[in-house]
Amino acid sequence: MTTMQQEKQNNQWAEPVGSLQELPDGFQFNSQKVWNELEQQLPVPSKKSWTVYYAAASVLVIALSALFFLQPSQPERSIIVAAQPAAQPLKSAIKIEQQEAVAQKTIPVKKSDNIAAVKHKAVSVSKDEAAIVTIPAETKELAAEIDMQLPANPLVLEKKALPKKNPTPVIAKTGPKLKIIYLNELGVMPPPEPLNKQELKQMVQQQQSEQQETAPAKENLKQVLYFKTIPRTTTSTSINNQ
Amino acid sequence: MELLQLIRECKQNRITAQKWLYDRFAVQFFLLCRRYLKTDAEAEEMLQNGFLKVFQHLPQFTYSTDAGFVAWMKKIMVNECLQELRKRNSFFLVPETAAADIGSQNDGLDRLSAQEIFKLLTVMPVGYRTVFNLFAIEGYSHVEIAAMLNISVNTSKSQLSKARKTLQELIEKNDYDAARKAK
Repeated sequence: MTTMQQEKQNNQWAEPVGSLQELPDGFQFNSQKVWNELEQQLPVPSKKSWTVYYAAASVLVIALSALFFLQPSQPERSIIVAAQPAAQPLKSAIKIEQQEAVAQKTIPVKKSDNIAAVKHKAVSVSKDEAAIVTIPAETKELAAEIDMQLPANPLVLEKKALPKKNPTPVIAKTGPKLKIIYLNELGVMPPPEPLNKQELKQMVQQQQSEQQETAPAKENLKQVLYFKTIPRTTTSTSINNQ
Repeated sequence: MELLQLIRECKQNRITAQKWLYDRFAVQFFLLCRRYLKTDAEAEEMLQNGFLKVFQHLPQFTYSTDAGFVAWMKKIMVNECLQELRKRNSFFLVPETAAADIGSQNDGLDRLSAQEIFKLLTVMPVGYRTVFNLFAIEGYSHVEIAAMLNISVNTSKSQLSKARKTLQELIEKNDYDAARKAK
């Protein structure tokens, strides 16, 4: 028998049998029963992978949030509260704008006999730095050399340049509540040392850099997210303006 | 639903798609299993095992055409049936010397319907119809059949000859019965 004949003969059987789509009479097939048994053996679609992904994502979000909110905030400026012990009645009052201008050493301070009621926006000077400065004659000469104006008031509080090794501020970092230091807590200040030229330059540069740092601190994103207002402190400072 | 989409969803173990696929091919493959096995219950069992293997091995299957997918499933079903037959040692093997070419007598086959042909196949002994199914319907060669059933090529040929002879007798008997009913 040739291959062609064999294929033809096979097709006579295969075609009708292969095309059969209905059960012939006398055969019984319970499709639902077979499916029910089959369904029990089928592998259940695993939701474990999705659960793992969700868990990992949530842990990541929590960790990032914690890092963001718990990182140490920028050191806020504490309050300058320092003054000479008020033995005599105070004669001058300097507004905050004027005081800042004095700190910048650009505007000479007027003499005044009123008591100061100062409202100040978060400016800091440590306890050691806060001092009543009496500008000696040598310092004035130095200032003249570097083309700088000194305040007319010698008792204006100035931040003295200190070595950067161990700054020990009275209030280095403040939390939401700012601690207020009153004049009588400061004690007697040591007599100021005369400034030399280098110290004076450092003092001016440091003040300028502090002013630059203070501005972005107010716009801190964290404060916005916490819906916290920038702490403002009102202090009354007695200054003997002589 | 298209078969390709059905396969994709079955690969994701979606039970709805698996039910669709089962419903689409259940009867066809039940009839295939029934051609190899003696009873309906055995055929149902093999159908269940076959579909289980289809769903388990579907992730490894690469779709090319619908016909290719159907042929792949059919092969799984056939293998399940043969495995069951081997397990029961159900083959009726005749001596190789008895193997002879019966010839290609198929007179009367044209007069039979598909259902009658199917019934004739299920009436034959297991050894005969297994080789006949594999050779005449599935299209395997004697070498392939010998390898699948772990028999010699001559045994495969002799089984086929016997199957043809038996079928011829059954067809003649069917014609005789039909003629007698007509009278």
